[in-house]
Amino acid sequence: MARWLLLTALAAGAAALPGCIAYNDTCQPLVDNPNERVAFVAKGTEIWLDRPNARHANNAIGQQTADGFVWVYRDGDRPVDFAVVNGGAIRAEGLCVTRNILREGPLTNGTLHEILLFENPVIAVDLSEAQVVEMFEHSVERLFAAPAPIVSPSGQFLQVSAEVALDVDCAQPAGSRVTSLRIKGQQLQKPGRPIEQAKFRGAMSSFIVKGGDGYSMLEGTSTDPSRNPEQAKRFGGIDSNIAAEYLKQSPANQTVENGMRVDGARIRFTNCSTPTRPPN
Amino acid sequence: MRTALLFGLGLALVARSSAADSRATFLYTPPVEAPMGQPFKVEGNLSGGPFAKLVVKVRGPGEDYEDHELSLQYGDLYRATLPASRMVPPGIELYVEGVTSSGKATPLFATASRPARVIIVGDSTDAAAEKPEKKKPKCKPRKGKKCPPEEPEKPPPAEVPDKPPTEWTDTSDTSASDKATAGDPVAAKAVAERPPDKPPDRAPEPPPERAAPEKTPPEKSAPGEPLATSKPRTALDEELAVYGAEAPSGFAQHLDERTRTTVLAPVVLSAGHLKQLGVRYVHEALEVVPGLSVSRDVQGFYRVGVRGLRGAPEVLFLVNGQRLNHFYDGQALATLPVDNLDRIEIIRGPATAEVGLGNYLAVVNLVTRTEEGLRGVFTGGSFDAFDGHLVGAKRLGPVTIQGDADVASQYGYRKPVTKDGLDPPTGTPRSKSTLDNRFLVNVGLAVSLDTESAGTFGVAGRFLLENRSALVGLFDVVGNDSRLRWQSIDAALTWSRPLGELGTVSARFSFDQQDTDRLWQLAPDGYQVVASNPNTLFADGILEQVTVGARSFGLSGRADLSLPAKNQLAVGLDAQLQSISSYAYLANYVPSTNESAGSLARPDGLRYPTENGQGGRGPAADRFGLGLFGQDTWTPLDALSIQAGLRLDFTQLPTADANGAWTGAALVPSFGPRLGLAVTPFTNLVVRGHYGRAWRAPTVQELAETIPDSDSNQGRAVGNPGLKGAYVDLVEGGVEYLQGLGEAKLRLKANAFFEKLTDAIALVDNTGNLIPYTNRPIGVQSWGFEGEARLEVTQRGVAWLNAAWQRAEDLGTPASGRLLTDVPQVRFNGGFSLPLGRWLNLDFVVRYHSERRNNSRSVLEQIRRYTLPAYTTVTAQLRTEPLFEHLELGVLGQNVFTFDYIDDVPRPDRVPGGVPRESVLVFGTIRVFF
Repeated sequence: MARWLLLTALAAGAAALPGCIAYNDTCQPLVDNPNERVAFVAKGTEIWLDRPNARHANNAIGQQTADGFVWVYRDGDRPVDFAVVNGGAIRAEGLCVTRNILREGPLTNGTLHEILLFENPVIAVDLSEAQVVEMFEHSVERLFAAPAPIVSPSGQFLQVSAEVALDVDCAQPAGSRVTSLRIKGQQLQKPGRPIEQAKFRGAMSSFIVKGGDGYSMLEGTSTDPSRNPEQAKRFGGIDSNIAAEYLKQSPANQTVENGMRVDGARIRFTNCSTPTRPPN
Repeated sequence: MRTALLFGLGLALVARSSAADSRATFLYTPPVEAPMGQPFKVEGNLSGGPFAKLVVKVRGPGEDYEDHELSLQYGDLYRATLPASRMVPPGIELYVEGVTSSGKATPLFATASRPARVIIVGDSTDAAAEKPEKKKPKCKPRKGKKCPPEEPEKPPPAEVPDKPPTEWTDTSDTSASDKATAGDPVAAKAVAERPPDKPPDRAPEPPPERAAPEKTPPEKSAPGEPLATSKPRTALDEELAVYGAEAPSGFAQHLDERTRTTVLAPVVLSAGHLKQLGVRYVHEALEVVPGLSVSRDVQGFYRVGVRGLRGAPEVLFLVNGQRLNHFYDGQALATLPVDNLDRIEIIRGPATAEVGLGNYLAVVNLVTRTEEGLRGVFTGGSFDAFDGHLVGAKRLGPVTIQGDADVASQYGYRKPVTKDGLDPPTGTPRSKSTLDNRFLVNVGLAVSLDTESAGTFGVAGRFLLENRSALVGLFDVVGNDSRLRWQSIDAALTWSRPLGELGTVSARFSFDQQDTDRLWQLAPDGYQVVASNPNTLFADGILEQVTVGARSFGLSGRADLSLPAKNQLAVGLDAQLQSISSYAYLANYVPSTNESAGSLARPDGLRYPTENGQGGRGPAADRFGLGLFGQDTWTPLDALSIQAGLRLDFTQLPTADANGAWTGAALVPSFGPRLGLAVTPFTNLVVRGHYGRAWRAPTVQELAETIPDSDSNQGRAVGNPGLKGAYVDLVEGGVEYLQGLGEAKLRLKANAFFEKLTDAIALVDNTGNLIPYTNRPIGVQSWGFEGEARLEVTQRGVAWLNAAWQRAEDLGTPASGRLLTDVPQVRFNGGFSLPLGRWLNLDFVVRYHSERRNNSRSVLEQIRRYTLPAYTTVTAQLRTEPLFEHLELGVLGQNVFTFDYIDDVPRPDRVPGGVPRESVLVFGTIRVFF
């Protein structure tokens, strides 16, 4: 009888074994059409997605996404003057595989959504000149000055839309590193004027407009009616969806020659450490 | 779940048929030897029956058998205690028989012609001095009274030359016993001359009533018996002590212990188990308990996962009923050596209603040894590990003094940490490694006074001191210069008094003060944050120091009452006042600029948990709690016990507005109902089920900790003033079964559970910035089953196996990512103890952990992937039986096959190698006892 007991116990245990260990299926695509092309990476170009290149240099994905934020508000009641994307929102890790490098050729919707993983809503608000200046000072305050190695760069670094031209000198102390800032060709002054005198409407993710990544100067603006906060209405108002739709209709989706490439003129770095090409 | 139910059903069916047709046996394994002149327990489980009574028949060589009736303890557990005068060299022979109501005797264990033998160890000359035991007259003649004539003394038995004890054979091998007599004509003659078994000469007695739970006040211990009963105990101690006392063998607790009254069966690791398991510290022992898993974090704390969930404040640790968890963060200084412990008691899930708040995922009670005498253990081994342990107790009339002391030190293992958060993405990383040095002192002292009229008074105190390094560092950087100090002092005054047949009343006042001083190194010596800025150079590294003092006062009282209709009621209340007595957070850097502050200083703008931000005391820093409980155990039938309890607590918690600013404090009520039953359809099968709900308050750390928003702190946790307390609801059912296999016994146990956590408190990184603790309002749940089997061939020959499987889920996460997999889903533990001749034992223990992976509760958790492969560790131990009556030696090897394994880190993207764990460790041990 004891033998039968043992066999019963063992059989019950063995029956439970197959399939008893389960893990999350993180490889499931985030979108229904993961293989749809949204753009090309330009011929002869690579887009580097590792942290130093996403958080310590101009980055094509960040730039195109910020351009998409401007685009999605373009036909609305209150178009924006500029847009920013925090470098921490650009991820190389992906769901299943890490992609440090996007090589020339098609960029699919699935891959883009894995790079812009967070799916944050996009919000536009009115900012004072002082806030904009402070915001960009905060963006660059943790950049590494040459020749220091870039170690754990902060995700607070902002990629900017085409309307922004920013000069940064990493030899200067934090808080005084922005040497020039122009938005839509207009030179901003330091420390910046109050909103009654100079107002800039910017679009960004809800994460930073609510103070994430240390952007405390933006806190409260998304709930202050006087700042006209507005979440993007098209494409669910989500950053990755907006970026995908923007790219799809952009020249970057027409030919590989017109594909995405980094615009090095948007943020010009002086005395800053320069990231290198990442390993594959 | 279906498999578990089928398993349980099948087990019940098989058990039923087994019980119905199996031969009645008494499951008992006598020791090879027993000390001279000390009471001797005969204790075992009856399988089969029914019998009106059980009798153990005992004799010395050549003597007649004398009867000692076994009394029913709980369920099927019977016990008789042979008097000390019976225990004389060279030994005794015994067998057990059951007597039916018609007077028919049936042998249950051994027989008159083939009894079991127990060698009595001791000086026979001394024994002779005691043995004559001249029969005392039953009365002394007094003036005017005469004594009745005494019965003539029996003539002395026929002179049979005793064999010297050394020629006796191991009674676990009865064939060997026969061989001995076969080869020895003198012994053979003695056997031949044994009188035939007598039929029972007494009228059959009615079946003994099962012991009513706690109905009689605790008896005073006889000399030589454990002193535990005379020691004032806490409610939990009383509740759990039964298991330790009644589980002298078997990894799982006894099958039918307090069947009718116990719906919650704790796992008990007795001192004997701990020795067989080859464990040195408490957390090593917890790792072999099904449903529990133990890992280490970067800071070096041991983390106990319970049924797939893990949280330091959610496992209540006690030493002799005194809470060890720190009021500030819920961590417990419980990594104590096991050498001075009598047992470790573990309840998975909420305990009974009488246990105060904090019993959430599990309760672990450490019970120190209390037996009279002195015992010392000395160990040395790998990585300069040296430790000594001393424990003893002495009874001086009504006063009992108990003490224990541990001193342990180790340099600790060193293993390389390949990469941390300060290594550049490319290039050669700097050289660095773990550091696990530690120095520990643990001293406890208890004195009790047993008065005849006023009850028992006790005073107890304990001092704990730990100085250690951080295993890796604070968060994501190796910091070998971290110095962590933890000091704890606690004291308790207790009183208990029996109320005759009505029950007992008891009261307890307790105090504890815990002080932690943790200096963390966040970056190595000579680290410069900004290459161009010499003010950001830190010669001694970036440092942070957090000192916290926490103080608690507690007062509790309870009454245990025997009520009519077989009800046993326990009611009580407890009050506790906890407070942060000191707090400081210092750093040697300026968070906003990363420049050196010159020395450790308070960062500007940092609000301490003891402050409210307006110049007053922070409401999170003090907490008053009041708890009331009632619990009734009703035993309407012999085979049915129903327990219902309710706990009501009022806990002072801070209140805050939407922006996290403190607004005051409020008493938060919480309810903890319990309901359970235990059914014993057969004497060797018990079925249990229970439901329990418990609540836990957020810790001060979870509510109010603040740290600077600096580069080095990104990703670390901060308090959330809006945090709510969390409930856990547990439903559990299980069966236990005992089967005799000749003179061996097989114990099986299986149980299934489902638990749901409402508003579970968790740390989920959504931002990569400072992460506030959050509630998971949709809930977290876990379900699974655990099984244990233990085969005891002899007391020294044992094989055991246990397995646990669970599935934990965070319901607030999309379906594809809700599994919580940072704790192993499957655990197997197994082992055996094997006698190698008369003096040596080999213990072998295998532990298996299934693969672990990152959780996916947030995008960041999802993309910070890690896979910790399944691993197996093997422990082997060679130890002696007692030598010269006072000495044991042992050699212990842990992870003897050097399996590499690692534990998880908070930032696997920055520390991809995880926390490397120990390779092979070897220790030598000397145990002496008097």
